[in-house]
Amino acid sequence: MNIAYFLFKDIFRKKLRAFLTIFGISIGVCVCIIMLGIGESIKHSFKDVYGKRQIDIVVQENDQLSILLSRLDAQVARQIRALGAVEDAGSVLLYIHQMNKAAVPVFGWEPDTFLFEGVELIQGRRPVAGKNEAMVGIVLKRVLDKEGQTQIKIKDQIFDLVGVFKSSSPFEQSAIVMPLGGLQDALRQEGQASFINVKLKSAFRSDEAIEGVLKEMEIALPKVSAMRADAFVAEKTKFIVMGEQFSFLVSLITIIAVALGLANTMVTSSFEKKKFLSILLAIGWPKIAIAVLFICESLVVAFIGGALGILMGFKVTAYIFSMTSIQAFVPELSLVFILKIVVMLLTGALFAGLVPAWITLNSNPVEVIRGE
Amino acid sequence: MNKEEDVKNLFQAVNLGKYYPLTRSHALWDVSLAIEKGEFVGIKGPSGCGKSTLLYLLSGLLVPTAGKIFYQGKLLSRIRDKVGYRRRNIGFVFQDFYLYPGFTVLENVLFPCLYRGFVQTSIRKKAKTLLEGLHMGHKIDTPVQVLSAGERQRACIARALLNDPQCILADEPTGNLDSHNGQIILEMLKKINTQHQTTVILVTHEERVSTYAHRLIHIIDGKVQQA
Repeated sequence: MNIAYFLFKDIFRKKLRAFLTIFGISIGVCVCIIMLGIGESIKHSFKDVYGKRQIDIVVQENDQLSILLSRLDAQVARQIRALGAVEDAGSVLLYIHQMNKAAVPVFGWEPDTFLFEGVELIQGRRPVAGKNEAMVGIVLKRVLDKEGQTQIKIKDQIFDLVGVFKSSSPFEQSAIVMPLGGLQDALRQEGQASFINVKLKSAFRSDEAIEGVLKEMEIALPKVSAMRADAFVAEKTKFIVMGEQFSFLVSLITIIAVALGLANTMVTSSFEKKKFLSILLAIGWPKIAIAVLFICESLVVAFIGGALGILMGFKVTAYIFSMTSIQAFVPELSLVFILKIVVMLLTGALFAGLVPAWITLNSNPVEVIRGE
Repeated sequence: MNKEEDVKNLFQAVNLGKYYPLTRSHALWDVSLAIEKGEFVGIKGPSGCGKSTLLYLLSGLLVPTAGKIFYQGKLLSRIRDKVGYRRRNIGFVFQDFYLYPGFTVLENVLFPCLYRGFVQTSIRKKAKTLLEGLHMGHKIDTPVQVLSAGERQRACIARALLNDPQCILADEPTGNLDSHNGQIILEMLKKINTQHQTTVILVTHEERVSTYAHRLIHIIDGKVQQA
């Protein structure tokens, strides 16, 4: 027999109580995962657009905060490609199209650039420039299939859907992509782009080299604003970060509630075991061993509940994503993210274990044994 | 105390007193007594006379408000590690057994050694041997809650013996038992006393304890009347 065996047997001695406590913790942790997970997943998905395509620099209109309102001359991309450090640059025109009350991003990508390499064509073919053709992300395709749509109308122009693609970016999974010219025509914004994605040659991808390229662009292209892709993502996901902070606060409150519930169970358990614990003290258990026993019990219960809650959380988040318009997002099992929840939970459990430990350490075993 | 007494006596109480400030009562007054190694001592007296208080004082669970206790010649109040002192030297047997439900007889007997985090195989074997010696060998894997009162008390005795104590402090061990089982427990305690020279200090109301004890100490109103 060892202490772990004792703890498990003791916890599950009262099966219903153990189940209810663990289930309560699971629900609390599950809520935290959902709250933090949604923001985290969206942020990661946004980062993927740039990270997985190896975009180093984003160029947009000077002093324009909104990526949707930013407009610059699409021909700037050609000037950027002429820079020695640049491997490729592609102009992107972004428009948000309303379709059945849902917001669908429409991308106009400059043909023959690396932009198209970031998606995997799984059905049909790429749209051809000069024809009113578009391809759609797999998630949007599923929605369109339900309605039997093979064409899409943007402003007054009708586009044939000629291909379906998969992308690592959830934004693109539920987006329409067409050659830049097609979207410019539809929006009557000839020669315009929202921003330009720039990929540098591998020799110029260090932080110092990127800074150097940015300075070079600043001089060569004074009418536009160039920034590092990671800074661009951070700026565009500011609202998610704010939401995340709010989610973190709610999660913290949830964990405190869970810890209080656990402390209540632990205190009840300590009252039930009062006599037995006093006997342990009488027969030679040090008080510190009893305190450790409570803390370990609390941590074990929290660990089991937490593990179940994390699993449940990811399943529920995935379900929520699949049921709503954000179905393209995939909840991510980020280690840092899980650690945040685990640390919060175990801190709560430590507190929950300390309460009965403190009560026991301050009780007089003789009084307890004699029932005083 | 001289050295000869040190060797002979397990406990020596000198002018011992215990006052409970909460109830404003003197549980013990000026008690002086000596208990020799290997003795079987019965402590008798009416309820509330201070019998159990004396046991708890000897075990170090309570601190006297007056007087001194010597354990093998050492002043008990000078022993810093009271927990270790109890673990190494004292075995407790209680009227209400205090076994932990949900756990087996063997597991309950092993509890005194579990504070280290694990129980060695040799201790496990020893616990089994002890239980067999107390005619509980067939019950080692039985949950304690299904045992009869007599069996529970035997499990308690095995638990008390696990650390090879010098002394067993038994607080009315037959109080919850019928006459037959009470006799069995007294006989077992006597056997332990005789075979292992373990000192037994037994608090009881039972008249028949005089059959087993080397001597009786009568306490009335916190004072030793006759030793």
